[in-house]
Amino acid sequence: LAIPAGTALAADTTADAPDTSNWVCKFCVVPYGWYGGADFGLVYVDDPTPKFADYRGLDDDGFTLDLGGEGGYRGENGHYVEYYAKNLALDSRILDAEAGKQGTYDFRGSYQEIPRYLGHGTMTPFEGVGSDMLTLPAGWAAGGPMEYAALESNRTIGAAGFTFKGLDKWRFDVDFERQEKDGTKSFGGGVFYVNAVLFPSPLNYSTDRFDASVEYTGKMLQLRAEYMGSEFDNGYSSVTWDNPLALGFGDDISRTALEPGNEFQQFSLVGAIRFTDWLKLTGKFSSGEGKQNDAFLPYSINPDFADRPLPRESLNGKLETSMYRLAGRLHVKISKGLDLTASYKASERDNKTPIDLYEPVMFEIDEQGPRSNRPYGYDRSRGDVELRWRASYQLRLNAGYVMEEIERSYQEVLKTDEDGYFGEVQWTPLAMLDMRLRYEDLSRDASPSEQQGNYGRAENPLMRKYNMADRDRQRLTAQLDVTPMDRVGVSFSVWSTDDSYDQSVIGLNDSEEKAISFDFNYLFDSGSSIYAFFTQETIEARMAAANGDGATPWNGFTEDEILSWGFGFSGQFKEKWTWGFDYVYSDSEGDIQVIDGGSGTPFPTLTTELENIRLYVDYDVNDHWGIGLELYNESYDTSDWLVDGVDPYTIDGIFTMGEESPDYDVNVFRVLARYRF
Amino acid sequence: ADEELEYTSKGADSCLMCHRSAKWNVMGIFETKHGSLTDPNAPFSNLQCEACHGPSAAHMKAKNKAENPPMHTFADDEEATATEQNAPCMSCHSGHSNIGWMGSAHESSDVACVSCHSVHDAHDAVMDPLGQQEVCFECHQRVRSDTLKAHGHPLRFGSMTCSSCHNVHDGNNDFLLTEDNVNDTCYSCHAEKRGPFLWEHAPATEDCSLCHKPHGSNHPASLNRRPPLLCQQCHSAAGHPSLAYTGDDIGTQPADRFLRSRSCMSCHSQVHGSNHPSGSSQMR
Repeated sequence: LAIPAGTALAADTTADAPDTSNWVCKFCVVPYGWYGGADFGLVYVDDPTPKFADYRGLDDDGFTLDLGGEGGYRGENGHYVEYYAKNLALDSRILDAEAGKQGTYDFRGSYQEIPRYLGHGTMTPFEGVGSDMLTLPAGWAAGGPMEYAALESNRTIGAAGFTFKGLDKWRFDVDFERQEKDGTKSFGGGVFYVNAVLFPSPLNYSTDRFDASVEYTGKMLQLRAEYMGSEFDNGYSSVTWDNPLALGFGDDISRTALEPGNEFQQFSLVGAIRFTDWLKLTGKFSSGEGKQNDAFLPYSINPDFADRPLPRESLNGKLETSMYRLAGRLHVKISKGLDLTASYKASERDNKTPIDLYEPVMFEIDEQGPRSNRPYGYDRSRGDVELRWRASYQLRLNAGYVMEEIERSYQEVLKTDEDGYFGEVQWTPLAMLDMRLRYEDLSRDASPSEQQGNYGRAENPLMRKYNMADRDRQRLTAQLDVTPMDRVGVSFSVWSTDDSYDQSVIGLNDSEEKAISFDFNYLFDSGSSIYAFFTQETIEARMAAANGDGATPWNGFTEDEILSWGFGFSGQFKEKWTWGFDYVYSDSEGDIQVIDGGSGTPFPTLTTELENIRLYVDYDVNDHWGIGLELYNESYDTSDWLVDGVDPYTIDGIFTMGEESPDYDVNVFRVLARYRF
Repeated sequence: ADEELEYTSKGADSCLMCHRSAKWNVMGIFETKHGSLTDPNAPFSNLQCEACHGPSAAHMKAKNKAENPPMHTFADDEEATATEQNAPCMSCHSGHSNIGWMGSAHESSDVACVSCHSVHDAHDAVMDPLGQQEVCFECHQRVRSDTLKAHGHPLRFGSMTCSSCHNVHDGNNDFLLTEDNVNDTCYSCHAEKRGPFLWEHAPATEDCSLCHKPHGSNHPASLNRRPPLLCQQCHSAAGHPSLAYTGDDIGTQPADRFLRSRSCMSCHSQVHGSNHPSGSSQMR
């Protein structure tokens, strides 16, 4: 082993460079060659539903192949290969691989699929599902036959990259990623007047992303220049659909625009410099540009409006974005140390999209007056100053000031200013006990509000939108960690955020989020471990609204209560056996009540209950072969008054897809043979 | 040199004489990149154990080794500050994704590298798709509850990890995200929502989290709350946007059309923006 003198890494540089001629490192047992292995087997699923299969890809009833594995190769010359594979025979497959020479270069590639299964009981009369042309069968009339329409999509993500680190202090990275998403999703189209049709809209997205960076890492200075380019393309620019609720005045067919393609590119410079041990700076600068210029559809597919002129053929939309941030730290040795940190960040979304007058045709038949588009832009700045004093090992005190200013264009409130203070105490009276308490008090002031209206529909002049309203915010965080012995960890946490919008007569008035949590884990001498967790959370809000200027306000209340807990065990016995179990339970209830002077009858409670029990056993047959068994049951029960009992014709004027809230009770059994090199 | 700043005479062999036993659980490091004997930047190609733990001759020679630890020891309950514990790590890892570490939320909260990373383990849990979130949940316990809610991103299934959206070492980006801000991070996967659109929905251009809870929610599409109240917090025009709908209105006409199925979004489905010349009301 040759060790150049003076190549100490973290070692104290005041120490003399050691004589390493006798450093044989005979105990440094690096396992060269192939390691890891492959898993192959079967997974049996009993009566899966779309919600159960969502993301998992376990949508087939019965047996399915299960393939995966993890491992690699480690060569004596530094060459290596690493791979990770999971669910290769399922729609949720993941394959990652990397190869190279450690410290010099590496190639990497990955492929992943993420399946979505969203349609529970969804149906539609449309033909051509999956395309951009949805037609009703000849002669079909309201009440006519429908067929199950699966709302499924699959996202595929392929990526490749290369890193070169062969030059001292320099690093070069290049990455390319392509994401595609294909399938269908439920989509709504408004038809005359406050009526709507829900239909399966096609998905055919692709996004290419390219990243490249060059980086210098010196002892005092670290600097990286990076470029990112992204291009999104939608295979379908629109979807055309027969209108099952047509009035017969030219609205027999309707057309909805789908998301247009866009391009974005950004250059960034990121750096950090350490002038001395007591003065450090870090920062980032980004400048980007986004474009969107897909051809416009005509105002209406109705031939009666075929000659209605558009002000331009495409938007020529353009965004210019910028961001810079600078943060610094001054460290003064007082007691265990006093640190003053400060940061300032400014960002801008400068929307250069041209403004023109458009004359929409609503519902393909209703001519509207001219209106101009509003290219929203933002200027934001944020700063903070924090003083951190480590008075002793037992006591740490932090306090600081934060501010944020946002300027908006074309919105009711052109400027909001928020600032406030925070304080934090961390007290460690004993090595086994750590307590942390943090409190923030922020106040936001909004400039005078001037309602913009929604193109002819004037908003209530007393409305204050919550993201740009006067607000007082108090936030409390407390955590207690107890470690009575090395093998035991106990943690209690409390969170509370209370937002008050006292100046908002109409709009959100209050919102409050509270949570308590408990975590426990214990590690046995044998290496076995047990754990448990518990979290209870409440999210409440109160808002006010009124049907018109001067009308008596009504109030809306929402409350979500979530309880989740679980426990588990994992352990080994007789060296060859590993086993364990996990139990997870989550229960949520959502209550909504609107009080308008009448009965104030609350809505039915929204409920979701999830329970998952998992048991697994692994047995090592010999040095190369092992067997794994896994059995789990997951039950899921929801109640949702928005969709329960709503078939396509239940709601007058809304032609739905008959979606149902999902319930399931699914058993899964998995048997795997594991081969290890 | 002072004995306290003296390196051992045999490097790792001095240390591993005792520490190679299973009790200390350190030999896994030779299955990691830190344990490489060929990478000139790896600790074991340099000063081996003492590359990170510092000169340790005094510890090796001491009779009471617990009272004479190596120069650098690493644990949450160590008297050394997180900054002091992190210094050996940062002497190599100050570049790449860590350039913005100083002043980041984790750095300001005295999070040490070893709070999350187990460098002696052959498989550092925080680098594993499912293991990573368990490490994060040790402090972010509420997020674990979020991931179990009815609607959210697929962390529970290992299709995403916390680091899909967060670069926990970089304070330059908002909320330790991988991109400059919330929206740019969301556009990494949801590029179709980037626009600009002809008819923009203002909150969607400002901050996705004004309407969505990215860690999980009880409401479809991870919304903060159910429509119509979600929408009525901002939309107050006289007529159907500002009417009070109560539980008595379920099943009654015409109120039912504003309440059930997709509520407001049955008609106003283009809430992220519309590029249709007739889409000013986000319906086309």
